[in-house]
Amino acid sequence: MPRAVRIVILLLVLAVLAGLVELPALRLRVSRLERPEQTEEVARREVIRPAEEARDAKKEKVPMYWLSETDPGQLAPVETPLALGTDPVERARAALEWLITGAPTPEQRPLPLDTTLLAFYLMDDGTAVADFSEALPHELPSGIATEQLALDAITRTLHAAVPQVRRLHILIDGHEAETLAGHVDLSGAFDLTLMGPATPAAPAAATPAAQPKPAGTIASQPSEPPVKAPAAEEKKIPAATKPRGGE
Amino acid sequence: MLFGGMGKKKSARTAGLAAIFVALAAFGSANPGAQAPMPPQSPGPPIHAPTTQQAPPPLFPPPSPIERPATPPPTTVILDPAHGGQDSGAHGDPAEEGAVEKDLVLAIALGMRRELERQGIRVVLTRQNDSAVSIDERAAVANALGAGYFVSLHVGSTGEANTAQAYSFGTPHGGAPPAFVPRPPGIEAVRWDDAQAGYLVASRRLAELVQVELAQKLPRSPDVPQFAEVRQLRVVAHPAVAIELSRVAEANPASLEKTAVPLATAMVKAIAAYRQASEGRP
Ligand SMILES: [Zn+2]
Repeated sequence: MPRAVRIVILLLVLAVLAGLVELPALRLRVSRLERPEQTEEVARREVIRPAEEARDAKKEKVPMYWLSETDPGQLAPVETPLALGTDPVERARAALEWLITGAPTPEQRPLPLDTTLLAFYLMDDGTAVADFSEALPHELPSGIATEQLALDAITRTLHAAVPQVRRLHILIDGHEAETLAGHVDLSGAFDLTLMGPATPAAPAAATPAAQPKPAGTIASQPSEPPVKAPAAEEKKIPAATKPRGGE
Repeated sequence: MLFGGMGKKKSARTAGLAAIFVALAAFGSANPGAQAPMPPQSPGPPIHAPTTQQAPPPLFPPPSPIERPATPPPTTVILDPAHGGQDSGAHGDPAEEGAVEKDLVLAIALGMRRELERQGIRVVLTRQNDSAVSIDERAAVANALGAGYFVSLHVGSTGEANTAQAYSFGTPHGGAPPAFVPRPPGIEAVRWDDAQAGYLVASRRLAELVQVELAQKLPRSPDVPQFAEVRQLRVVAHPAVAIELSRVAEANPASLEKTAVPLATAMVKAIAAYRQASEGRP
């Protein structure tokens, strides 16, 4: 065989070998491209799922403060099995993301589905910063009742999932905001330590139908007894919990 | 990176907040003669309110029938039609269709003013047309008045149609009263942002009395008021409530304007009951 032909055959053999290595990788990439477009919601859940599956054995019951099935004017915590892990920041992220996306029905969502938790930081002193996307103020129905419910859903769920968080600053798209969507105060920090231990929540399977109560109350708690005015003595009224300024 | 930035922001804010320390003769009901805090100002040294400033009439005057004037001064109600200008407040879906909160609350406020004045009550509006008035500007109008009752009017996105819920400032889950910045010794001051601090109990009582009336005037309304962290109420140095009517989607302006008279009457009755309880005045 002439020398030139031998060289050509050798080159061809090398090309075939290279193809054997490259082709499977190429096929994998093509098959990835072919996968159907995901909805934003599905994509978001996909982000959470691998972590959940990896730690499947370590699932714990976490109360999710969604809107009550029977009365959308109040929150009704649902004990939800979640694998949140041990890192407080990861726990906070996962809990808040599940609060946004995991509600059993659209009517039970306290926050708009398009809301994204852009960032979550936790400092050593227990001060946390949660930065939500603009979808939160833009798509949340404006009003005192709706905004207070959204805020309570965030603070209560976070308080239950990550007890280390003592104070919470809420930012919108990286900026401090005066109000959530025109009504409820977002300036300063929310003091979560005044909330007390997390409320025992209803089991995930069956949320007991609670008696309809006025907006803004919590289903699993007895509504606070109305302080019958005019009371003779100056009674301490539970009120604002935002320490300001100095921090 | 973020924390460094925030630290800077915070120190700037603290400086700004220090600047808005203003003298207050007292905190609300406990000490009569409270002076209203001033609106936020640019950073600088703490400003002490001039001692020459006239103190407003006490919220709870001592019960001495001899010194009481023959005709008590007229009650002042500060009506706050929320939102306005670019801020439409709550709206239907889509936003372009149907009534919007800012128009509804203005119509209601104007109707309420007519009825309140007819009943001998002095009325101050925080806005009289579709203008943009900031939350602090509204509070400044209210806090400049000696004594009064502040009512922020809203039409919300949810709730049973044609019902009303009253709110006073506070968190729904209760907890302790607000932790305030310790005041330097010798300076009786309150920060602008904490103007409501001395009125939390008073506002809660007023809200209870208002809600009782609302439940009668607008059937199927709740019996008890709620706490909410309403930004507007936070900066008001008066007994202050927010009333949120339900709801903007069903609202037709003609029928909502009709609620102005019952709402005004509810306020008159609630304030009368409040004054009777707090001052022993019939
Ligand atoms: Zn409003």
